[in-house]
Amino acid sequence: MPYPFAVTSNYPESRRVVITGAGIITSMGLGWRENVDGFRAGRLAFRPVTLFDTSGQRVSQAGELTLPIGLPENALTARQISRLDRATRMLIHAGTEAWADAGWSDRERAEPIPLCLGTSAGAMELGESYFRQASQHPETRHGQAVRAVNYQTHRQAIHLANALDFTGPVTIIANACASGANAIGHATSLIRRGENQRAFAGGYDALAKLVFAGFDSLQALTPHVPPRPFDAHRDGLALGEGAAMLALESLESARARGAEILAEVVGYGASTDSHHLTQPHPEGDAALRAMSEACRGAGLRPDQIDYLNSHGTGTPLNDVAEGRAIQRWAGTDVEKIRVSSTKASIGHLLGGAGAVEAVIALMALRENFLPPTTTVETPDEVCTFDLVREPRDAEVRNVLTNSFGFGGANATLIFSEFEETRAVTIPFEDTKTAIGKIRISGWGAVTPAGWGMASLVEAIESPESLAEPEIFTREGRESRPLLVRRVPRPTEKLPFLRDPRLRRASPIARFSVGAALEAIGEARLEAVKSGEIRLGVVYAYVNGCVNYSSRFYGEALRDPALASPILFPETVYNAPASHLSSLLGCHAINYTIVGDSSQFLSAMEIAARWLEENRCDGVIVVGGEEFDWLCAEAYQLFGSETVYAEGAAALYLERGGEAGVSLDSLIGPELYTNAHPRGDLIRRVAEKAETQQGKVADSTLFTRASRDDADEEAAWADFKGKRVNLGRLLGEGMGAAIAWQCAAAADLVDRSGKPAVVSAVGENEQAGVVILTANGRE
Amino acid sequence: MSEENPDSLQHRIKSVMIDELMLQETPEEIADDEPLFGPEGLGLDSVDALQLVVALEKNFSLKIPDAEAAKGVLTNVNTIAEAIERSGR
Repeated sequence: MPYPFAVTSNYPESRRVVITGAGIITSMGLGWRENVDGFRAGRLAFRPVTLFDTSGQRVSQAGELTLPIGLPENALTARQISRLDRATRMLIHAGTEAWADAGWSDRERAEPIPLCLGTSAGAMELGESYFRQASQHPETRHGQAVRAVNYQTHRQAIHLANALDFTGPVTIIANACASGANAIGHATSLIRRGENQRAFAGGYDALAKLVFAGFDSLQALTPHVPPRPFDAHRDGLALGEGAAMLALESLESARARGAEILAEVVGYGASTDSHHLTQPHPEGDAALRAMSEACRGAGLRPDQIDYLNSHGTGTPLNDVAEGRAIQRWAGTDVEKIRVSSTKASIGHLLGGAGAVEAVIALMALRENFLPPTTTVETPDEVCTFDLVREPRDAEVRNVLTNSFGFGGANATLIFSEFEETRAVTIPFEDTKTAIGKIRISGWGAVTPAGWGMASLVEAIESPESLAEPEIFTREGRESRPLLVRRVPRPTEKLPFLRDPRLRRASPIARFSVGAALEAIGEARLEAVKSGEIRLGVVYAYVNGCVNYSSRFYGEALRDPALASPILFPETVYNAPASHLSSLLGCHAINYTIVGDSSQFLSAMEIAARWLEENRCDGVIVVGGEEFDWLCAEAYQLFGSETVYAEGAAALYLERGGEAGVSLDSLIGPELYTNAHPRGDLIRRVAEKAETQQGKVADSTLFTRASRDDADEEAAWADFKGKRVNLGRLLGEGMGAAIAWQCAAAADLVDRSGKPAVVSAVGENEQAGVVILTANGRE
Repeated sequence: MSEENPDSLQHRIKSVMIDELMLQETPEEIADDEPLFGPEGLGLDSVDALQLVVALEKNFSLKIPDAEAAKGVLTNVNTIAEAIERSGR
């Protein structure tokens, strides 16, 4: 990697992103001050787990935190507060501190503030209690609907927004251990692009039995807590829990309100390691790419980084791969690089780690100290850098933090002390491409109608060709029968299903690979593999890998010692995206986003952003879902006629070009709030679409509702054109639903030359609209 | 491949492996002395090894105490069969 870079000095203030508030809660303590004091002293914060029974496990300690009984003052009702899970409570603690630190008031609240969160387990506590009751007392439905609703990852974001009384688009990135860093990077990009003045970003994860048993089954946990990252005899990680939030805003905005600037976000790099689902590339190739990309954006050389907060899990493979990456990145300067892993003090916070360690790095910068890794006895020979083993005071101007996740999602953030003038490179062409310049040049689908677009088109044209829903009854239970539409077995041999990466993969991963391979096509796949196309992947869903999750949790409850290690890695939200990236040859950026099914629009928006930022040349956007009795029963709680469906669809997006379909407009997804109730919001986004210069008039409308939805019907009452309702046709596809609509719409636009409109109404709190037009045929 | 006795210990081990490791092969396609790990054999990895340890305990009450012992036992189907026989089941 060539250093130094050419730099540009006159970066506009509206595009510089600064941190004006930070909040944190970990096992080290509640809030900035307690954590600074603990990390400065190199204190260790582990104790025996009290949240669940660990008697059947190899390990019984973790960085369990002491959650205060009450919450800081907030706008939630007592009833709402009584229903909050542990993870959300942590999130509200960290969020309230960051918000107050920034000094945001009603004036800032008046504008939408995007909320970007990273998590890996979300409200797993509620999912687990839902599962226990559903499997042990299926006849008792009391409380299940509340658990099912609040388990949805989106709900935790909404609770935080309601607690602080603000609104804005929500993006939840579930990139395993890189999630929190990706969320901060994503929020930075929103401001840097000039779309928002402010964003609220961070990450959280609470300890949960399923995750604890999972890591234990993989023998990834050290039986000798505290863990010893970078020690020659390290033998695993310890889990921890917590949350951290950052208030981010443009320099222009921070100056205008006279806010104290804590630091500037100067670099963000992200890459994909497709070596193995649970093991990093031994030479740290993807780690090196993430660090180099962040440095390039920051215009900083490695020797200018005063403190590097490593991912440093304490597992044999991670630390040596990361150490190799640091050596390669720093070159002859490696001895000067001061590195530590704070996981030695508080454990690995998974989806919360990236955000919590970003705040710890910020502490080092603000308070001029290096948090140590005190548990090392014999440093591994990979430690040719300056491993910080004792607390040290130091002048710290630039900090770098690494987060390398399960499934190969890698992210690096760099923060710098604020300086009036800053010479930075712009890592991407600084021209805002209109959404309309984005082409959809390929699409594919796996649905209950079959594998491939042809079977979906046939089902739309001749609905009678589709088989009746099957009636599913849970084995050994007298529960009400469920109506289900499963993806049929492929009628022809699909060679990719025999790929070793997919052998153990969950159904959802297979569906999405099928859809993505169809969307990308053979010629482009070759170009990706030869390095001609840098490919990104965005995956969106609501529930994810529920099938393996419920099997694994069932096993862990029966006997944790016999829970299947083969299942656990496949339960992680980003496992399908990881398989997909590996099979397609994606080494650039990949995100898995979870939440409301209208997140598929957010996924397209993220893809468009990456293309504009020149992070990649093409992006596969996938939405998917798989059948599991657990989720199907949960949906039945809200309407017994719901047909639960599974499958996936994918779009291939690129910038410019002659072929295909134009992504003409993306409206929303916008969030329902008290001020904008559901019906109003759906009508509003529909009206925005209808004012798009008559494009809607001659189009086909793809509606979403899988059962009666008066709000959606009312919003589109005046629409005169042809309508297609895939929800009624195929069933409730959740994360796949809007992806199916978009793939079918793209196909129709391509064949007919006429526009199509997709009404994307989420089941939780969001709605939006997509308009597709024929490229060059307007 | 020759017909196998479905009651043989080797055959039962292969059935358990196919089931628990989600293998695409049939028992007949796996040779008794075929290496389990590495590109020359079945191509299993470290996650499969952990699963196999759990599966052998669950199905054959074979306890494999540590990674060192696992290396010896999990070489091929024959070595697994020998370990089960040694454990007296």
